[in-house]
Amino acid sequence: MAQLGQSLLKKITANPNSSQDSIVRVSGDMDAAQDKLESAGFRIRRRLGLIKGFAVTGKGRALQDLAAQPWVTSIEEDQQVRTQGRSGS
Amino acid sequence: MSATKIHPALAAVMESQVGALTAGAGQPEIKIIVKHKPFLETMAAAAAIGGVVAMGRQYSRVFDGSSMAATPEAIRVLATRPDVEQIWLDEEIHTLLDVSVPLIGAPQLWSNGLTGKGIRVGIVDTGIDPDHPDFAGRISVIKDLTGEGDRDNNGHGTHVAGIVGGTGAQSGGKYRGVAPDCTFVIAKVLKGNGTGMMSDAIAGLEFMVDQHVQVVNMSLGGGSNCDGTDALSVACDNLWEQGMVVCVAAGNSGPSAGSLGSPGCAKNPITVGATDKQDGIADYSSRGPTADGRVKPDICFPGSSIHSCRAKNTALGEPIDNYYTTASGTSMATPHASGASALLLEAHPDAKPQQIKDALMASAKDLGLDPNTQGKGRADLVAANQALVPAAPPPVTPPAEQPPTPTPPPEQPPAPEPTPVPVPPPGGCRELIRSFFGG
Repeated sequence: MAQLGQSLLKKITANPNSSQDSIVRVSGDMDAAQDKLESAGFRIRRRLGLIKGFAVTGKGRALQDLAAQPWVTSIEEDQQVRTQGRSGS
Repeated sequence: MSATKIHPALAAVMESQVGALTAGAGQPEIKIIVKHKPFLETMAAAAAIGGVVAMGRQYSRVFDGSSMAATPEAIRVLATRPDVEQIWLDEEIHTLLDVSVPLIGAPQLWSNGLTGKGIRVGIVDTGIDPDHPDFAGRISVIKDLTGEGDRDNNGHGTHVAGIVGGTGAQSGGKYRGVAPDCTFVIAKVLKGNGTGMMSDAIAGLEFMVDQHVQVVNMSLGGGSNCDGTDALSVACDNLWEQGMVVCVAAGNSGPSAGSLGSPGCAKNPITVGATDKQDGIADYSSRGPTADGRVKPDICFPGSSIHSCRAKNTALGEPIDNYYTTASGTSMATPHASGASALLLEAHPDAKPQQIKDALMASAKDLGLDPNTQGKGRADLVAANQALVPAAPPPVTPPAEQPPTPTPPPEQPPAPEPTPVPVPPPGGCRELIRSFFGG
């Protein structure tokens, strides 16, 4: 079973019916994985061949079901990143 | 050989003036500095060559030598003399108000002809100001992955790019970046407010693969206390394994231990901490270890109060004028590493990313701090470049032979008569020089 990232698990637990932006990494054929994700109701935002994964949007409950799939290797929140400059010296 | 006495930068200038000669122009004059001994014989010879146009200064404290202007032909003749040790180009120097670039030794590499020419550096950031004079003609492509448009509406990416390789054209060379001849490949993954999605950053990295860049700069980050297994860190690791040098910011969540975020905790990339211009560690620079116990950062570069390019209509940092601004952070340290990597790759085009990383780390100046604060220390590009020079092969040991039959020693020739050393006139050497050149 794939591990759900900690921050994502917290959000899903708090709101299982809300939409979450996630990154899902898979094993096996990527085209087949994309078909399965779309069939499960996820919106594919990006295909990320560099990590053999997809940026998806879908309900928290659906993500929990996804984690049980043998072809899914990890699911984590699509976190915010930001510049590493700062004011001051 | 006489050719090795002519410094490469001078040889390059002499080579570039062959065209002018072919076009029928007269012999050009090149300003040079000559290290030589003994002083007077060399000066007399220089005057006799006929291609030495004018004498300049004489040196005796730092080395024995002189400055002069000479034609390429005269330079070649000078180089054949046994009393001439080295001939350098008397180069124009620039005031470098950005202390950070000379602090890490970049100008010494420039003087060896290393400026990042031919190296493609990818910058995954807020975009770039394509109209800034310091990037003229060197932006290969800009890809927007935010939906906001190509323009840098924040200023961060422009500042980072300036550190990597701005020419300093708008400042008369004052704010020149580390690799001022590199080519830029820009992926805009952060919006005008400086934020973006991890998935967009990964898409930016994929773009870099398509664009065949050699160095990637990631002055961005997210999360905290990571173990390197998150998607963005894995993407950086994979990029590295595909042959790209990846430089990532440690983060600005210091000084607490374990304050690195993604992708600072990625295993392969060069994770960069920030020092100030007095070689102190910046308080804000994130500290290791990673959540899985690895030492990070790997190395430090200057990151505090860095002057670099300002994007039009932005207010990042403390603006100096319309074209430059001052900012701090591991964001500013990281592009020093990327520019450094570009210079080293130009010098050593067959070097793998791990070799670049190992050379930088092995040659860093130890600041005497905990490795999870400083990594291996503050980078030294001259030493890193030297560390990448292959070691000389071991001498070949000849096979064992029978000892030769002893022969009587040869007769010693008589000692030669010593050559008389000319005594300077009462006015000193300057008088002698003036007497040669009528000055």
